[in-house]
Amino acid sequence: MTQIFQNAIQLVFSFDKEVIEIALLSIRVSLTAAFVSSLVAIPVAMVIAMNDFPGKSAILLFINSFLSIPAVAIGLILYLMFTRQGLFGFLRLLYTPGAMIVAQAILVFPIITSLTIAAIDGIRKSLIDTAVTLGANSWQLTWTIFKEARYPMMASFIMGFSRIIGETGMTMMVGGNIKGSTRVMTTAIALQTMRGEFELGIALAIILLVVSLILNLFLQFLQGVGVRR
Amino acid sequence: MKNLVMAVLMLATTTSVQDSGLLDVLLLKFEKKYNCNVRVVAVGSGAAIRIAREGNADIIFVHDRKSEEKLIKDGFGIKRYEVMHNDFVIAGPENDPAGICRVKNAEKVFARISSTNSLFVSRGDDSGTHEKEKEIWSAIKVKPGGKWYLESGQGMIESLRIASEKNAYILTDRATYIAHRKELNLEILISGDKILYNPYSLIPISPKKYPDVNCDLAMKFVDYITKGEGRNIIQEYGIKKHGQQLFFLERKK
Amino acid sequence: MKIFANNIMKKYINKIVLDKISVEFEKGSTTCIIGPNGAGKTTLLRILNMLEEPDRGEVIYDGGSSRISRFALQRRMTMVMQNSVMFNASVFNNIAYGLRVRGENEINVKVESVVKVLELTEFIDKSALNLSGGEIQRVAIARALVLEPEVLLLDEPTTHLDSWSKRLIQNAILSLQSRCKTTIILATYDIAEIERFEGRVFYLEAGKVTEKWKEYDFTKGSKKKSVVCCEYFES
Repeated sequence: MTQIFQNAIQLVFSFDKEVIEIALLSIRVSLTAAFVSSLVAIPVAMVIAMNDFPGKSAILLFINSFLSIPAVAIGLILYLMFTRQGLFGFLRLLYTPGAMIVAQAILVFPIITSLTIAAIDGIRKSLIDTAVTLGANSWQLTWTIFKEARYPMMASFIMGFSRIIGETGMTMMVGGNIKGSTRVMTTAIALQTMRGEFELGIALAIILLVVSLILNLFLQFLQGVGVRR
Repeated sequence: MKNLVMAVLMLATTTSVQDSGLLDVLLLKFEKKYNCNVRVVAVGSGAAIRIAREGNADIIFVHDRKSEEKLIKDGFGIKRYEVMHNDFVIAGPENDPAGICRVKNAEKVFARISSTNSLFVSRGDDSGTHEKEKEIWSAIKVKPGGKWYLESGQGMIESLRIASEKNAYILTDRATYIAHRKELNLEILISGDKILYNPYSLIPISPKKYPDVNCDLAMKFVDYITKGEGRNIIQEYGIKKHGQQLFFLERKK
Repeated sequence: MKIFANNIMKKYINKIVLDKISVEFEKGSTTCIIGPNGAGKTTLLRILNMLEEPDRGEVIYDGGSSRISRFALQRRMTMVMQNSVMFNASVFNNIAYGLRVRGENEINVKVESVVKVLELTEFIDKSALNLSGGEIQRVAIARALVLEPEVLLLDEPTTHLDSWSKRLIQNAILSLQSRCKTTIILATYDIAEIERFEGRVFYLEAGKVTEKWKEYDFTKGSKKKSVVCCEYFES
């Protein structure tokens, strides 16, 4: 047993090619997904947070309920859509990193949206009034709020990223865990362990834990900075 | 008053036995007859053999002759019972872009696939199918790798689905392919080559190495498969549903 | 600009905060509004500034020749609030904010000049969030003064500050007014402050302008006050 652990640690510290390849793919896929999702989620969140309109509470309820959708449900729906006979089969996305990015982007969207809305709601109205009385127009005001909320918004990005880099089932369903192209840390850990290859699984788990830890520390730092007002 | 706890048989087997659907039918009758519960772990043959070595199963049902013989030699398995066989086939997209249909020899087919960099899906999981695939690659002295060589690391049906989606070639056992033919976009292109012969064996785990194994129930299963009702089930499996027999019994030696 | 608040009424839930207030502010004039907390001073200022809308009545700017948008108003009128909020940025960037949104140039020169007046030079690169209450108010004043607005609204700008800071701020505002003829509307309850700002004074209590302070003698000390009187209106 200890030999397995030793081998696993050896894999990590010797920068074993396969381990690095899988880890980098995980980070690339999840980072892209979080980024692409943010491009839509953040403007949507800003529009919702900064305006009052009929049906606002309904929309907020809607977004929050999406937070609890099981990832595998998303995986199943996308699988059916991306398969050859499916609605988007012509895109040939199934079993490619693109499908994983789409799935993770959808999963993380409600997370980033709702956390960004909270971040903006946290901006005191008095700050908005201040910007307005100093002559800011709508665009300048939006940009100012964006800058003022930058720490909690970064935090929401990181939280979203953490969620999706650790996701397994949905990513496996649409990705296929193909070595070298869609094999990411979580799917590799799940499968290698099932097949009894513990060293690779443990090595990847170590990296995943370290990534998680770093993200969490950064998150604490950001939330601390944000509070120091 | 009989035991309230049912007897349990731990069976490690390959995904191709599981995915073809044969195992479900075999176990249904067996569990009823002996009033027991069979716990199945379906992984690649390589993993199943490792499970046997670690004593985490009572009996294994695999198709990887070399590893099986080593298992016996090392004393973990009692005996190899050759139960049935079927064959491997090479499947691929209907339009056969690499033109392998004209080549009848499995080794030459693999050579052609690799030289044209045609997409090929491998199990990549040390399963019996994977071992057979590796056997053919080493026969033509090719080390497969590169963007065209896709290792799924998963079972037969998942790998077939990937091949179907990506219009790739794949080595598969006939039974699993037939059982799922309708949902796949693949055709059998090559079959019949001697090297594609695929025998399955049952190996009960030796109580000498692991005294806790349920040897009694394991041997009952061996009898059921090799001498009892199991034989008929295997012989008839597939005829009604898919129009052909999927597994063939070994002649009694 | 000339401002005419006409018959303003504002209600919060059940309480009438402003009750038929009609006041005129001439261009370049100084007006002090005094009154206890909760009397409606802040609300009145916010309505003048179009941060809030009255329930009844209206504010007419520039004689009402044309409708002015809130945005256009904010570029001519600036407000300093009671507990000013700083942006999460340096003191320099806080003060430069208004200049930047207007796209003005020579920002460095303008900011540095007002920084000197309010004695904020040592803080200029510090984060505005790390300042004391008095320093923050000075930055808020600087932020407004640097814009040289036509109208300056101030909501108790020197409350809780030490006399030295108060003096500094009052000097800066008076200096602006003499330079630019800014209209000043100042809400305060500091009598000494009212004495420094010559102009009208009116008293706001429970939403109504009253004449309670009419008898108060503003001609204290050696300085002879110019016309200081209480104005009141029928309510």
